[in-house]
Amino acid sequence: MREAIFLGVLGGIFFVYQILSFLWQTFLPFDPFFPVLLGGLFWRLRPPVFWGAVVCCGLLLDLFSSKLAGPSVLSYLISLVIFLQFEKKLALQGFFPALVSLIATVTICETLRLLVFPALFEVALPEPAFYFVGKITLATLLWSFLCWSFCQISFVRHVFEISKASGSR
Amino acid sequence: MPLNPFRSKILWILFLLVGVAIAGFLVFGGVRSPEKFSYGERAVLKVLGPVSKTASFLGLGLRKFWEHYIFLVHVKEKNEELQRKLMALEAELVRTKEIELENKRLRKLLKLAEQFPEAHPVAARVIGRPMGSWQGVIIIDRGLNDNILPEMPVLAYTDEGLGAVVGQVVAVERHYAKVLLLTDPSFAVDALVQRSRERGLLRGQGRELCLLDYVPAEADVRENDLVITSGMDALFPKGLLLGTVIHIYPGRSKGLFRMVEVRPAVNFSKLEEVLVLLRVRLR
Repeated sequence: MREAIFLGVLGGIFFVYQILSFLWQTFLPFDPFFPVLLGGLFWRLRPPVFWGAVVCCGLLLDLFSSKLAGPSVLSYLISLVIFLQFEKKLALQGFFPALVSLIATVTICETLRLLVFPALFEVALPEPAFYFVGKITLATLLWSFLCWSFCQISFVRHVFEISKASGSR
Repeated sequence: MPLNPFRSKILWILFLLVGVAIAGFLVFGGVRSPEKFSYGERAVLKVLGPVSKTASFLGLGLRKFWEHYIFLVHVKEKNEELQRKLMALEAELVRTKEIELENKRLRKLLKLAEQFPEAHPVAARVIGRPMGSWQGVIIIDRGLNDNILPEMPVLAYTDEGLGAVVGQVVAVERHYAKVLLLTDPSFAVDALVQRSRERGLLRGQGRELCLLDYVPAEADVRENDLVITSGMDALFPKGLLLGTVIHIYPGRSKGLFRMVEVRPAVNFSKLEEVLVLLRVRLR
């Protein structure tokens, strides 16, 4: 059931994002999937479902926004592994370690996805590149805070049985 | 019987390796084929293409509903003003309507049949917009089944009804294709300033504007000049509208050239339908 809800949420986000993009052009485009996948780490999903969803979301994002296949998948995998290390090593005790980890992970992910991997794959970058990447990273961080706040709601915590061992909540 | 820790660890490593191999196959498998979509992308597009298509229809419908029924501020004043204008225009309208309809038919026929007699244009609907990226790509609902292949030029009509360049196809699947927009930094097209015939290279900037580069410093370029394709790249037919010069940077860039900012003729945020020219140029 949890897996179905998780996949439904991802599908719904894609659907709504596309509707919004046809409604108007936003000044602050954001990465719709990564914050949800980051939250999904705490939802005790079966690994094949979670990591399969990560690969699919990366593929979908690359399909709709990149010339090449791969940058989003690779950056998602690397960033989520980095976040797991943060959680394991720091145990994310308290609000600030969790907040710093969230900001660091999102920034690493978006920089890899939008700047580092395209540059490695020899895709021409926009000018000024840091302005574009900064804008999208900022918007993704705002979206992350929204997702994070949503996960604090008690019924969501109950539905997804958020781990009590982690102090990130 | 429970597995001992060593065997369990081996199983996990095997599981991880298989997972990585599957992910790698999905991400990179098949990208060297003429279609240029990876196997994973093809599968995802097959499943989620229709979802995106539905979302695009719904989004456009909601936008029209919002504009026509909800967002009606100052509508009364506008209505009175329009009533006055309407009376004067009604007489003109009947005559113009006939000319317009005839003009539209002839223009379409002329453009499609005579301008690109060898190109066999295919109309396609935009069903996917870029998601959270500076890269300019769109997904259209025509693909291999309609003989669309990578590198084919994509056009659209401007607000004035002129044919203008949108970009070029970069990847295709059976029912869908990915189009790289004029505004993407990877996009470049050989261009001419229509009035003075000065040549340059039009490049995307990752935003709504493009840059006409490699224009000689002494070149005769003015604001509001139209920029068209030169046809020298053997990809886009000569004379297609690219955009309008909006700013000329003072001084020289790279020693010999000046930089010119160009606004694309096509409004990409309102793009709904495009025309693909089936003029194949495979390497």
